[in-house]
Amino acid sequence: MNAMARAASLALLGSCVALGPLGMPLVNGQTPIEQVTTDTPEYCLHLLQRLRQIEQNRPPPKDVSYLSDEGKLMCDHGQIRAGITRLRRAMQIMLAPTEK
Amino acid sequence: MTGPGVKAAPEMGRQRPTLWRRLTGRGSDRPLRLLRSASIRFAAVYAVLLALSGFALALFLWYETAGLLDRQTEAAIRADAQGLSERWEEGGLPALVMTIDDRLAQNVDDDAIYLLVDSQLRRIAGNLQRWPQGVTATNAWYELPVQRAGIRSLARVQRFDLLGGFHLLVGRDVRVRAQLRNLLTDAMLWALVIVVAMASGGALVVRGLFRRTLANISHTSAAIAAGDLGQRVKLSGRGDEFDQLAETINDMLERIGRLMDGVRQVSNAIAHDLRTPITRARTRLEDAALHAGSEAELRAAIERAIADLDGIVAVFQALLRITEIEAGSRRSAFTAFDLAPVLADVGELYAAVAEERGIQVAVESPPQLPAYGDRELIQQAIANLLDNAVKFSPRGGRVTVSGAASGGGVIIRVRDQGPGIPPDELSRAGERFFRGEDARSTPGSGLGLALVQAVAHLHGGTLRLDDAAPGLAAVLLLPMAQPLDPAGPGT
Repeated sequence: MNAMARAASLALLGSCVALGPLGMPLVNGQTPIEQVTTDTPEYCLHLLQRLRQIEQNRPPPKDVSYLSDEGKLMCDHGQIRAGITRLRRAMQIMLAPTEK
Repeated sequence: MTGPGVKAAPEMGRQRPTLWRRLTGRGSDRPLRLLRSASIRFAAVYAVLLALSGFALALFLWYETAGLLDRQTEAAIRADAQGLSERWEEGGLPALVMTIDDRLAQNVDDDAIYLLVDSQLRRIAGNLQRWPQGVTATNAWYELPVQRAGIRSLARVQRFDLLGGFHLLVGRDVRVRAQLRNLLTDAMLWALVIVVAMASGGALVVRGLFRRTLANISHTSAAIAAGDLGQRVKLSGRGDEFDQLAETINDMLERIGRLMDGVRQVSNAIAHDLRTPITRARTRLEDAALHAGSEAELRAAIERAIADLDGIVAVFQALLRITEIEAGSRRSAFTAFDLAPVLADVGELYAAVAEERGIQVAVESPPQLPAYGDRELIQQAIANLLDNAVKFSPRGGRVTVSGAASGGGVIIRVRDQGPGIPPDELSRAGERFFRGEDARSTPGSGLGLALVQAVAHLHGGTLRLDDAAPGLAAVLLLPMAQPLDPAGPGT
């Protein structure tokens, strides 16, 4: 290998070493990690209670009943985030402005 | 003294090679030589330009992808905060709490972060357990590590201060976007590394091409420097810039060859033409020294030798004058003048000489003939032409000197009725020391027309020799390089 090829290889290797870390995900180990409270069984229960309150004033569409039942079932079986997602969809339908 | 059991110190010239030497594998002057190499510079410029282009492209793509995700997130947070601010202004704290609760309840994407606290940082509404310690400034962006259902995530948040000492935190979970951004960043950086590698490889190829292309010219130049003047740069036939350069170099070599032939010819002519008068002078002096019977005979021999040597001096003066004219240093003496009296003066001067030989000299010129140039040199050139005409005219012949304005210049024509110059010798008549076959018996040095030609070139003009049948017509065309002074020529 001649001198130029060796110098080029070294430059390439140096570039890889220098630029590699820049592409890594940022990690901040100093700041305390904050807990999000909308992924908990308690929040699941909170959403169900709110849905029930709204349903008292207005009869729920079929989709809402299906979504709230499925959400409750999933929360009961420990699939909290999936259950919350369904309850949120049900809430979205219930809180959406009705078309006149 | 070094004994058998004693190790000798290492020699100075055999020290361990430096890192650079090991990298390049060459001596200490190798890096400097590499830097001085034009092929290395071209290759480096190519590599740097390619790498910069790749970097600029990667930067643009990153800005349009990962940067766009960041900007979208920030825009969503600002819009969210704006909506909450309006609710706060409309309904106060209860309305704000209700809105936060509603938004969290409908957040199907599960990425919203809200936290409303009082002045004591006690939680009122939202989905964060407590106010993050590091978030202290308003209108500043924070990257906040959060935990969702046991999974560590990252949120981008901004703090807003409300009346009454309340603080609001609005943000978005950007874990997925951050992962996508990191993937894009990784891809860009690796693409950049690949571009750098390709640029380095391309630079080596460019260097090789450059060196191969120059090798042809370099070999030819080396051969010519070694004395082989017949070498020419080979053309690739592609007609590209290198072929154009090769053609230019070959044209230059041809011209140099012609000039060297000219120098050689002039040298030969000097040696040949001067040997005769010098030998004659020497013979006369030797003859006088051996056989002169009286002081008068000795003096006469010396005077004849002096006359011969004066002729040699005149030849050298003519040569020096031609060289001076060709160097162009006389241009500073250019001025506007009237050529008509010059023609008349020269004609009158040679009329007396011509009359002794029965030759008539006629001058034809308008009353005024404005010209621009070196008056003395032009006068000398006309005199040379007239001298030749008178010299070669037969007894009873007629020599005509005419001047006329033509276009932007003047034409001076000197015509005789002599034998003229054979057509095959016309093109060489202006060369130094050239003398036609028919002119060998006529006195002269062969420098007269060469001087006229030099004067013509100095003024940007030409000397043309035409067959006047009978005789020769020498036409000197001098362009007017500058407009004349309105006050009149010669002023």
